[in-house]
Amino acid sequence: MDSTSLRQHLMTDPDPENPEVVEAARSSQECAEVLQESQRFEKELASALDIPPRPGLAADIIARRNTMHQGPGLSWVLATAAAVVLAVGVVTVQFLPDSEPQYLGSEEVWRHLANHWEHDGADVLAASQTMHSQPDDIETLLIGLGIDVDPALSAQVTLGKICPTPDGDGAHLVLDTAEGPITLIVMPGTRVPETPTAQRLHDGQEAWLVGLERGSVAVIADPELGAYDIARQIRQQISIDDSLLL
Amino acid sequence: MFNRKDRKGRFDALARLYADDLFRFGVWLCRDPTLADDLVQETFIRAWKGLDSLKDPSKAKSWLITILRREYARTFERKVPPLVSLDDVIGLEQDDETPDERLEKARFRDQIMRLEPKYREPLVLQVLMGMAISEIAEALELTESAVMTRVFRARAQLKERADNEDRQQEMDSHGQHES
Repeated sequence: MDSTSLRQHLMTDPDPENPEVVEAARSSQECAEVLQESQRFEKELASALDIPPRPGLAADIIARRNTMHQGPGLSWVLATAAAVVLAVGVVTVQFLPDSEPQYLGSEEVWRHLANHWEHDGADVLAASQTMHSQPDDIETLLIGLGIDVDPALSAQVTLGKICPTPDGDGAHLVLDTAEGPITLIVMPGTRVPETPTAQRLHDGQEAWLVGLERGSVAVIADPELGAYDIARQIRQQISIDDSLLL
Repeated sequence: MFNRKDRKGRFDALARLYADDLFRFGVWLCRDPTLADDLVQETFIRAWKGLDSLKDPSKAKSWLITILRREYARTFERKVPPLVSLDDVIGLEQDDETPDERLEKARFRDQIMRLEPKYREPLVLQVLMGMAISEIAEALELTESAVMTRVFRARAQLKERADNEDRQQEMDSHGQHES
């Protein structure tokens, strides 16, 4: 590395212990001087940037955590939904083996949704009539899955739980509307064609599957409720924002 | 799955490890230590709620930085923080510094603060928080190439401004001699 290249390199990565940098500095006086200059600059920069921390900040944060509502672990169902699970004898199991997120054809997604609905859809719907999740728990569930929901929609959620999807965890939500309960299966990692598709499920429920900008959502409701119109609206009210996910 | 005690332990460890660094970054982000304090506290509230989504502990710093920046964006939408001199609010002076050193540091800080945020933020993360380019890219939701370009430009601008100020001082001092 010549001195010009070294100077350029140090402007991006000033680590003086990088083997290439060490070698360059050893190889010529000019490079050694470039490195010295860089180290002087970095020392001044670090000194200027250094700000004393606010004493006791970590302790205050920990103390505040103690006063907060205990958020549930997101790898387990919510406290209220856990009661639902026990009451109806449903266990959250993986329908499909773990796999890399992939673009599934609608058929595979529909197969998954049909299985899911047959497994516990009606039971969770029934349970929502007598059991409700806390708003904080719903918010925690959604944040943890990277699901961003319009407040107006969020306010309608009466029951929520984690559910398996073809591409990892999703949210199984029951909405309480004036017309009756509606189920949403939000699949953050599952892409589907943009054009909505519909199926009639084994018990006569109407289901619409719509793609979001990222992920997808299935809207399941009694045929008389007009799930298509609901799906169109909900599409504007849900988005997947996985910046909190790693 | 972590039980409640594990969860608290994990969270407390994160707070002890990263609260101070986040505060420093927050001050450089918003130039207001009170706001930075609030931001850090709100960040950790959100981190507590979403803790189970942090699958890889080695990415905790990037994760927390991402949350803090989003909190700041929300705050900025509601209230534009006052632009004040960093030294006015920090009032830092080290006992072993000479007046010239303090002046130099104040000038350098002023130059850093005048960098555009898109250059200042990655530079702060690299130098102050010791983050690697890949970590910074994750935290700022940029490509590694973009981060490298930005830290390069940040340094280039700081050096150029420092050179310009030195030249100006030299000219001023020549002018005084001649008069």
